[in-house]
Amino acid sequence: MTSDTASHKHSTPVYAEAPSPVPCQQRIMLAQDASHAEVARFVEAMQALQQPVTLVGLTGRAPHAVQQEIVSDRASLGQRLTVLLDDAPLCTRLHVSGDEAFLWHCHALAQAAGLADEQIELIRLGQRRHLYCVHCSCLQEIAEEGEATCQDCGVRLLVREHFSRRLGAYMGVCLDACDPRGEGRP
Amino acid sequence: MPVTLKPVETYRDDFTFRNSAEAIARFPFPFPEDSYMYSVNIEPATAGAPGSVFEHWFDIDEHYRSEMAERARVLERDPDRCLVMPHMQQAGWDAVEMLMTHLATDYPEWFELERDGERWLWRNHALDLCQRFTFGDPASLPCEPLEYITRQVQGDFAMLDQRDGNLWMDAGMITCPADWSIKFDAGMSFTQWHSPVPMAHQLGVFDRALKYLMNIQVDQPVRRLNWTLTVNPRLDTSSETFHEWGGERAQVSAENVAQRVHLRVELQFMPRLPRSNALLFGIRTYLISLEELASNPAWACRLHRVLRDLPEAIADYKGMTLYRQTVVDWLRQFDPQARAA
Repeated sequence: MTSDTASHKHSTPVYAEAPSPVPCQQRIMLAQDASHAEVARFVEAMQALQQPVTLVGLTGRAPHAVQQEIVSDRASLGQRLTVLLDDAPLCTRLHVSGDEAFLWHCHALAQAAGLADEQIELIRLGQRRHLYCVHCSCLQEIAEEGEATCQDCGVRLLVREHFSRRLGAYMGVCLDACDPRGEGRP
Repeated sequence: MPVTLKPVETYRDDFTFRNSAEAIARFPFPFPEDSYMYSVNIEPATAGAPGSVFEHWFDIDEHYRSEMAERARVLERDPDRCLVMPHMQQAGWDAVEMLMTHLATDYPEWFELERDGERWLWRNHALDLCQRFTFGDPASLPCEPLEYITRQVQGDFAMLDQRDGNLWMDAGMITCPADWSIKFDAGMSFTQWHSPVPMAHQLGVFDRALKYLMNIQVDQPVRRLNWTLTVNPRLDTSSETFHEWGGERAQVSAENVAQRVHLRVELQFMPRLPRSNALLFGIRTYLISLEELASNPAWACRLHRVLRDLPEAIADYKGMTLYRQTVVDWLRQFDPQARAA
């Protein structure tokens, strides 16, 4: 399942639960944490498809035999991905695992490197997500809560189920315009 | 007949914006029936009657100077309301050509364009501007081409890139949106940015509208009307500033409803941009207070019925739940059937 098909009517994405068993010449897995059990599960599933897998991790190592490398930070991850995709056969699939902000950061890098949305599968791990304050443009990390206070401008925000892939974030909009910062209604 | 431009009025703070009798007479009242439901109300944008808002592709009216001053204020505080992704550069020049050409042809008393190959001379007498530039060379304009021209044309403009079977909002000048945000929605597909709208997805409205829009051909633009209510004649009802204006919805009372509540109508106009194949999405906003609107009692009667019977989910999405009843109560006096009941 790609990130787009099931979420056709919504801006909120739906994530992959297993690698889609489509024919391809190569699979690249970008992992925010390569030692995560879900990464191992996906890599095993890919290997079972008899297709070559390259794993690039930001932290951690996968416990079993797979061609893997670790990069030091997000910038070098982007550079490494660009090189890998430059050399990659036409029919390459990219898998990204990590929190939601990491997924869409890598999605943008991959698209900039020429990959189509259908070639990218996103595996969401953990509950961390990004909230975009529409009033001051500040991004902050939240979990599953439906309300938050903007760390920058102090406006109390409703977390809307409206998601921007470009920003990798949900929209936060003032919860109570009669009392934006929760200081008591006039 | 040449358009007469009023001196600058305000869309904020003291809200001095008013419509003249002529502006009321040409107001695009959006309801063809006594009830409202989402539909694919898109039609070919054929030239309308002389003097009407449909006469020209881009309508310039008495509020021109006020609206351009308001846009400048919004951009001064929030420059990112004009956003152009790198792959939309050519579409930006398409928009420059389309807007300048049409304005100079339709309003020669206010706008003039001289073209000598790529060397262009643009004169805007309404804002007292004169600009020589080289078409296609961004360094020859004081700012981004889309920003340069849309600082001189009423209405918001999005530019939609067409690819992968969808339309992508990859550029725009959006300073007077009805409760949405270009800064958040940029980069989204047509389907994604409409995802918060209730009911319409189930009705299949967006799927059909998308097909219609993707088939628009050069020189065969289409249009539709959309509407909501706005408290005070405020143009910048963006999500970005919602924490500043949303509270005004709680201030509507039986005493002030006729002056403060405005019907807000968007004349959406969608032409194909010829070189880039992008779609220009013009959103020209008209505001009219209930008091001004009721100078035409047939409009007031119809608006009464529409608002009284509007489905809760739509009223909620349009942000009028807090004061809808106050508006309906005031409009009832113009509905003979309701008065008799």
